[in-house]
Amino acid sequence: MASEGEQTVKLVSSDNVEIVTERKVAERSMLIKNMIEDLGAPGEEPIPIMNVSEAVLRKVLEWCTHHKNDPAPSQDDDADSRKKTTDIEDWDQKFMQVDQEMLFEIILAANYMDIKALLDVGCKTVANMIKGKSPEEIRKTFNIQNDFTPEEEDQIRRENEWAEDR
Amino acid sequence: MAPPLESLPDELLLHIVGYISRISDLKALCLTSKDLQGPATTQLYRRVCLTGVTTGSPELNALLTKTHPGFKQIRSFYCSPKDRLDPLPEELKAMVEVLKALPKHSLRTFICPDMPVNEEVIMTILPQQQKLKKLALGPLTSNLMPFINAGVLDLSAFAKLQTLQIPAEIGSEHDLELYQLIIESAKLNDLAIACFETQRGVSEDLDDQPDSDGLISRTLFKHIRNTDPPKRIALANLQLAEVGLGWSDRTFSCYFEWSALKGLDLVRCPEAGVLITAVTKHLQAHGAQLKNFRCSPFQDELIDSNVISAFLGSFDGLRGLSLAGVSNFSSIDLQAFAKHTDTLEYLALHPDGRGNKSSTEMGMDAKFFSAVFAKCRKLRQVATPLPAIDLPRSSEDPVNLQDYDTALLTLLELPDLKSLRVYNWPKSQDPFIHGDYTDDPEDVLNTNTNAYLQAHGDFVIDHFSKLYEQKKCVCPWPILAFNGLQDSTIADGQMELPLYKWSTYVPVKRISVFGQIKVALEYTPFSDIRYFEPESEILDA
Repeated sequence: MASEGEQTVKLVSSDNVEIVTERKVAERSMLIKNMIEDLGAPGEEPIPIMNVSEAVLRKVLEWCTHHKNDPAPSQDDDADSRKKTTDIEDWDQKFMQVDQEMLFEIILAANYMDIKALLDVGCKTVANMIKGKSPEEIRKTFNIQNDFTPEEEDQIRRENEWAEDR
Repeated sequence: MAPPLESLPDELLLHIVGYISRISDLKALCLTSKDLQGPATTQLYRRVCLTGVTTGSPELNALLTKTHPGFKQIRSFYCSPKDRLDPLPEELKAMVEVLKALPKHSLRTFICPDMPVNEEVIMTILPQQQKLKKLALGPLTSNLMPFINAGVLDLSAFAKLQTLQIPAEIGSEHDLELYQLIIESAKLNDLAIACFETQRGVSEDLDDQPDSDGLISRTLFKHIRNTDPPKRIALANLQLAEVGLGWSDRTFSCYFEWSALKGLDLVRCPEAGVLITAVTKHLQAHGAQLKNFRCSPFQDELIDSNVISAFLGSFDGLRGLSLAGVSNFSSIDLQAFAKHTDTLEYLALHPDGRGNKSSTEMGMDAKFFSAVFAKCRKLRQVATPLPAIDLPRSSEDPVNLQDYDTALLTLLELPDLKSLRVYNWPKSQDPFIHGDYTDDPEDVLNTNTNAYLQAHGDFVIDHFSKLYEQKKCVCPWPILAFNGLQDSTIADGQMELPLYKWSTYVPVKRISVFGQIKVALEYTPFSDIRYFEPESEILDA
């Protein structure tokens, strides 16, 4: 029997494409890790990844491959007190240079497949795209329709008057 | 066609806005569309900070729209007066109005260290907010002890507190009695004691004396002193600020379980060395979990480098170290220091804590940089003086920058460096503007300081960019911050220019007309730094 490191698993995307990958890579996803544990015989039965298409699944697995040897997220109490940072490591930054459709698909897939570190990177990327922009610039960036009336806009401005940058 | 951002489920939108901390960004997001307004409002209201807001003001009225969905989201409430030394009754009233309006048990953090606290404030928060985790109040203006002793005020509401800050200004010893009860009953993680003697202060000595223990020690830790052996408090983080520690081997050293401590912060404490030595002994006997240690000197006092060496040698694995005011840097035992080089991520070193001595004088030459900084490959934030130089008059000025550049390049070659704070300013070779065109000396000083900062800024952008090119872009640039310590000045011909200002520079990527990516430094107001790199809060010693 192959050792755990060399074991492979079969994943099936929502558009029914079979992808074979290293078990260690796939187990970056808590969803898959739990499924493998439940199935008992990894590698034999294909694992359906219902909500994720082939293109997105391949992209997600590319990230998992690069990060397969990352230490497990620390449950250290320091982690909680540490300020939320939007710092993204270089490789991840390049990885996230995709069109918005793919970016949101990755975020949704990371959420569904329960890959916390990838979800964080995706959300940070979107947060960084929002920062420093005016409402109009944010709408332009994300192709958002303004559905407020001028009166509603005034109202929101007044409501948020108490808050200011320090 | 891309799926719109708004179509992401609310939990994911909340996750995204959780990474946005600038108020102006959140306010902009509130105005983009109805779908985004919800999560943006939630994040905006999570943390409410009011500064100088008075009762009846439009800001307060806006916040107090209780029907507003955001109001339910408030978890942290920070309140401070416009003038720290003179809080107005209208400001206190505004704070009480907010406290009264908040939904029950919604607050986790309530911080108002500069607001006087009367019984109305306490009577409001005690029954209303029983899930508080962090608390910092200003001086109490009335004695609450009779109410507590009579059972009218129930302090068990504070049982969930994890972080407590004892106010800087102690109105009377009853303040300390109240906090003693909290320390005894809550399971605190973090405790900060910053008690200064003030004009309103108590008549008795707060600090320990040679023949008697001080009021802070006697009152706050009464329950520990009464047990034998003392039942030490196991905290994660302890901060002592301006607390006299000359006799702490008899007092404070017995109150805490030092081997459980993760962070120790001694800010301007007279004779801190006594406590450090006592803690060293404790750690040697019981082991250590310390990850962060910060120490800064009281006035002209310096901490003996032998004391620091023994301390650093008694355990390993520090993540953050900030030392200011060490008697002789070059005599810190490098072998003791080496116990932490593999783990250090934050390092701040300042020889005398005041800026009166040059770094070279204290043994921080180019060799020191390669012996200390170059070995700590995990460093993310550094604060240090650089070898002294004269500010070049122009880019052709033949000023000797060799040591400066060597030290700087050592730092810039650290692979994870995110921010670099430089404590010392280059000397200016000639005075800038002379001040006889106006009568106001303060004006002259300001004009000259600004002229110096301008010249310094030109040098930084020009020279550092040159180094960057020389470095061939191996690692990304850190955010650069120049700011001395409290008393930093720079002699400008006949006058001493006060340099209390921050000069901060952020590397910005630009694409040239030829399509090449170039990184250039850009001056950025200090308040905007968090916008570029929230992690890079510039290390403060």
